[in-house]
Order: sequence, then structure tokens, then C-alpha cells
Amino acid sequence: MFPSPALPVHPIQCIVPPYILDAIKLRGNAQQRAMAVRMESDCRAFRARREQAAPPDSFLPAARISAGESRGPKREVYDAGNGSSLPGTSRRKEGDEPAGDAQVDEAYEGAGDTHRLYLEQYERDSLDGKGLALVSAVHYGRDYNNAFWNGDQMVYGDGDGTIFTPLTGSLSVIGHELSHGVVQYSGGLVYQDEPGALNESFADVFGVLTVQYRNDETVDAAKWLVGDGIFGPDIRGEALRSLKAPGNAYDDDILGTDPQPYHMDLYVNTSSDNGGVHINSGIPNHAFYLLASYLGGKAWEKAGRIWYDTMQAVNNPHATFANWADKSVEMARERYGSGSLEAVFTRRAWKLVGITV
Amino acid sequence: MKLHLASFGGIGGLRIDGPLDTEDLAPDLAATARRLVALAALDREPERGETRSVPDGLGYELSWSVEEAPGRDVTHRRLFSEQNAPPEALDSLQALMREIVRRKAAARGGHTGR
Repeated sequence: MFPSPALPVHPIQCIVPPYILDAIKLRGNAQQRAMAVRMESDCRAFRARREQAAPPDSFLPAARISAGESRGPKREVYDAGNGSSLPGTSRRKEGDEPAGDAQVDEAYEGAGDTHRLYLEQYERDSLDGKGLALVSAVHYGRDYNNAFWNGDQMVYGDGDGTIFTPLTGSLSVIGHELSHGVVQYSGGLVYQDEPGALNESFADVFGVLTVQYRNDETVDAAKWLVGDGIFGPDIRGEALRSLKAPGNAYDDDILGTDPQPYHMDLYVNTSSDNGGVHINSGIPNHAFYLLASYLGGKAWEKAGRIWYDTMQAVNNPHATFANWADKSVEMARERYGSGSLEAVFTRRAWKLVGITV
Repeated sequence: MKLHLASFGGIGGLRIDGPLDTEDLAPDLAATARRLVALAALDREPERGETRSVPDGLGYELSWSVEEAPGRDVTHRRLFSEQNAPPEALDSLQALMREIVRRKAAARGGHTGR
């Protein structure tokens, strides 16, 4: 994604702002990442005195495919064998028959559903827009209670049977993890504080849209839940998060109460969880839900389009909620007209969660 | 030795924590806990920015008390992430977290895993 050759080293390197270096670390090749780390270290003293923004010209939009052109996913699913070495043993590749292992087949089908949403609705061929292979590993770790995107692939645990059952059991989880990849290849959002919460929120929004698109659900019919169906049998909760009602997804002796806010007045300042990235994501999550509800119909069509356009245009890995809100209104105006209902409702949705555009 | 262990983050952003005491752990888990504390005490904690945050990665927070003078306990605290923890520490952290979850589930009379 970055222009080659690697960035030149000369005195002006010291005025490269930190968000550019973060973007290079997120998106550059190995040589570029190493150079960014070195530059960051060399320039720390200088930066304290002279933080000066440079045009973020190294961001490039994902490649778009031409109308009528059809590209399928390139899926690869591996079995980590309850160990932690990745990717593991190959179990199913594109076009193979079902493997007969539920987690392998769920990861495969879910990756296909997510790819289809991005391709058919947003003209994006895979995470990078260039047909990147979708690599997943299942059966990771022993009783592993998590799923994550490691920068190159998806990783899914089987759960311990108490808190979680296998995490591939929720399509919204698969769509969520893959959408972290989309964020990474769209300029990135630093995984800390508000930009980190936006990163989480984008993954949540497109995780639920993956479900809605597969099921052809309307805004009213959809559940708006992330991670439904993966809690253990005795956990009291519907899901990990609710975009419709942040703070109400679970209330359980072991897990505690869902801490997500739905409004800026309830923003949680914390050093834990990378500054509450999974907590404060409730605010942009709910803004998206409100926008989709105002617009009605199928959420991936207009609301999803505005959010996707915003991710492509925001161009700042350190974006705050306010930056994102501003850009989303701008995107709605650009696509649907400045006086359009879409633009008015986008602005109103943000206002209702405490962000005035 | 008394410890307190928490896991946080992950796709759920869930924080699960609980106390542990090597006096009432099974011998193998007590040994695991002691090894973990020894490792945590020796290992340098990476500074912020030294490690890359992985979306939905899990983090762990371990604290333990040591009697450094008669009647004077000092509490130490160490953070780990899946990306920076030495493999042996990660195995120990996960084993002790499984014990915390097992105890919590047993305490409410529910399902205690596989």
C-alpha cells in the first residue's frame, strides 16, 4: 500500500508526525516498519519541541473493482491443534468440500459471508481490496476464551465451555475479526483510547452487518448483537455487545455487567483494555444503530455505505470520535446531497450520543 | 503467597479476576503460581509503545504480596499481554485463569467447563 521504495532517510524525517509513523508500522512492509520504529526513536526528542503535521499523503484507498467484475474469496483454514503455533495444519482451502469439523467449516463459511458483504456492497475485494487470502486458524490454545486478528490472520479459540463455546459459532465474531483487517488496510486506527474504540466499533458494525446481509434482515428484524450464541450455558447474557442497547448485553456473576456507554456523558476513562476500546466503542456503535434505524430498510445499504466511506476517507490513525463524526456527515453529504435525509440523520445520530457536528 | 490475577481485553473486552493463595491451590498449580511470580519479578515489563497492540488481544494483570520486613507486606504488580509475555508465563497465566473461572463457576453451582 505504501509507495516504494522505502521512505528516504534525511533530516526532514524528524518532522514526520507520529500518526504517519503509526500508519507505516501498521501498513508498511517489514523494511518500512523497521524504519518507522527507528525514526520514532530517533525523533522523540525533536518531536517534543516541534510537532508539525505533514500531509498524510501516504494513505491510499483500497483498490476498487470494476463494475461487473467478479472475484471470489481465497480462504484458507488451519487447525492449530490446541497449540499456539500459527497457522497450524491446513484443513480446508478455497473450493474444498466441508472438512467435517464444525469450527473449520464455520470459519470458512463466515469468511466467505464477510467477503461477500464487502465485495458486493462496497466493491472491496477482500481486506486489502486486492484479493488478499483470508487465513484463519481454529482450535487455537487450550480452552482458549478468545478470537483475535493478529495483523495477518484470524485466530479462534474453542472456549472453555464455561464462559465461551467455540468462537466461530458467531458469524458476527468472524465478521468483526475480518473487519479489523479492513481497518488495518484502510489507513488503520491506533488501538488505544478513542481511535482504538473506533477500530472496535467499525469491527462491531461490520460484524453485525455481515450477519444482516447473509440473512437479508431489515433494521427492525436484526438483533444488533455481537457475539450472540457463544456464551457458555450458565452465563447470563445475550451476547458480548449490543449496538441497539449498549450496556445491556450481559449481567453475570463471573463477567460482571456490560460496561458499555451509549452517550459521551458516560464515557469511561480507564487505562485498562487499551483505554477502554471495547467499552467506549458503545458510543459510535449506538450512533450507527440510530442512523440505521432512522434510515430503515437494510442497514448495509446506506448507513453501512456512509460508515465504510468514512473509514476510507478519515485518513488519520489517531482519529477521535468527533473526527469520525465530522467525516461521516461529510461522506453522507458527498454521496447523498448536503440537504439529504441521510446527511441530516447522520448528524442527528451523533447528536443523540453526545457529539455535535 | 497471596496473588490476584485478572484477564482483560479479548474480543469481549471482559475483565475476569480473582484472588489465589498458594496455600490452598493444588500442588501443581501452587508451583505454577510460584514460577510465574518468580518470572514476573525478574522479567522487565515492556514500556508503552515497545509492543504492538493486537486487536482483541488478551492482557493479564498479576499482583502479589511479599513480606519485605516483619509485618510489612509490599504489593507488586505486573502487566502482560499475549504479545509480550514469555511463553512459559503465558501458559501459567492461562492455567491460573482457568482455575479462577472454575472456582467462580463452582461457587454458583454452574457448569465448570469440559
